[in-house]
Amino acid sequence: MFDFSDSLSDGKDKADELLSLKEGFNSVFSTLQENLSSFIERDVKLEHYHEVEGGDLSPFMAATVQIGMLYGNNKDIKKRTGYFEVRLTEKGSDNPYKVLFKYKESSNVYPINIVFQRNEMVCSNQVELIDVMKEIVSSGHFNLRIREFVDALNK
Amino acid sequence: MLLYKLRFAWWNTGLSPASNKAETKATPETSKRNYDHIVRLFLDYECDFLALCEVSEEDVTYIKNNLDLENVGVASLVDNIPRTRFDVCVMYNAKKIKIQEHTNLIKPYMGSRIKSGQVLHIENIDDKEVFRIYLCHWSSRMQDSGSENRKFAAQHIYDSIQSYFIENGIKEVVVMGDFNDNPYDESLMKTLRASRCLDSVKKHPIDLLYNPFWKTVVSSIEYSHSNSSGKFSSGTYNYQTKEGVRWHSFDQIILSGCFLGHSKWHLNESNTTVIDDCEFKMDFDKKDCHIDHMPVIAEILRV
Repeated sequence: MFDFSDSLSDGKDKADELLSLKEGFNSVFSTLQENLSSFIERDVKLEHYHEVEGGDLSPFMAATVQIGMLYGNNKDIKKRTGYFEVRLTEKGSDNPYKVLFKYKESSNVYPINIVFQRNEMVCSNQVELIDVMKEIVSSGHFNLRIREFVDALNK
Repeated sequence: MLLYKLRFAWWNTGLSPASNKAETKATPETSKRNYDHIVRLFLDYECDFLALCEVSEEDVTYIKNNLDLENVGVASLVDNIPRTRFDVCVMYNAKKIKIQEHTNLIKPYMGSRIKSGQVLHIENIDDKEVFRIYLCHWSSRMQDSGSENRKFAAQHIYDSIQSYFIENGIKEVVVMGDFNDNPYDESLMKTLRASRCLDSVKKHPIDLLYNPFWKTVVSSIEYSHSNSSGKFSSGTYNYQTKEGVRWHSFDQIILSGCFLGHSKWHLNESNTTVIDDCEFKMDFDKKDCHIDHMPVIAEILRV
């Protein structure tokens, strides 16, 4: 005799754990979004786009790939790299700014790879993710990107 | 059959240690010996790609301006990160190789940063074949956390290679460095899965890497009564441990299973070794010379 009750129970625990990790991960970015809004005194949001091979996409193409409209139907559309590009946008605008940084999630959320400038940092948990994000947002290069974004909004 | 070869080498020069606490013993006179050896690695050993570690931006500038090597490109990969720095530069035969942008692989841990390695792609101009190269200078044995840090670094490199294979299939990957661990240590053998067993790596080329530098763990000089007063060096570094080991193979070049019959490129083990000729040994043995690592070289052939 056998049954799958224990296995199903294990799976439930793992699913709960995954949801909790994902929630913790999302909270890092929502906090960063709130802090950025306060910092630059504009209502902004962080948009996450699939990165595709072959470089920077136009906002239209980024949005198209994001919602999967052309993916798989068009030979000109390039392969997704597995990374998400994080772009800043003013709420209500559909014009995302250039990439602030990139990240790649694992199937179990962590480890997460964060790419900023030439550095690729691997984070095994939320504490390390927060540590890395603090390092990124305190860098001069990140702040120059924010400044450019604000300048573009003011034009 | 016409064979085409590429030679990869790694050398910890000892010119400018990465740690702020470590002071270099290099002087203008002894540094000159470093530069002579670098030239020899290209002219005598026909290196096509040479990674140098424990170098600073100033060392790289000196190399660029003063070494008389035709068609050799120099690229600095020196980069500061909190509390330490990446301390590598690469030199390459510009007639055969093009190099692309590099990425620093960093593992945050307990508020500090572990330098897992640097990754760059090089292109063999002749057939546009791309090789992925990992350059590693892992945490020193002088640090209490060194062993843990090296295991984290090994896991980071292994995961990065696996991710590359998932996206591209099995590919030509070379991992070279001063790992501050021997081939039998946990970081390299268990975490990075750098095996000494050719048959195993040939059978499992995605899961395992091949480490030809296992052979350097023991001396190539066999003891007998006739050489009983001689020296029995092995590996690349001399440092007495409390376990009673003096010679270490910290510097190694590890390759993906792709080079073992899964592509047109093959490892040539007979030209893959520690470079411990008398010129290097002479400086290595000098008390007043800062050179304390031997270089390593690996050859691959396109068949």
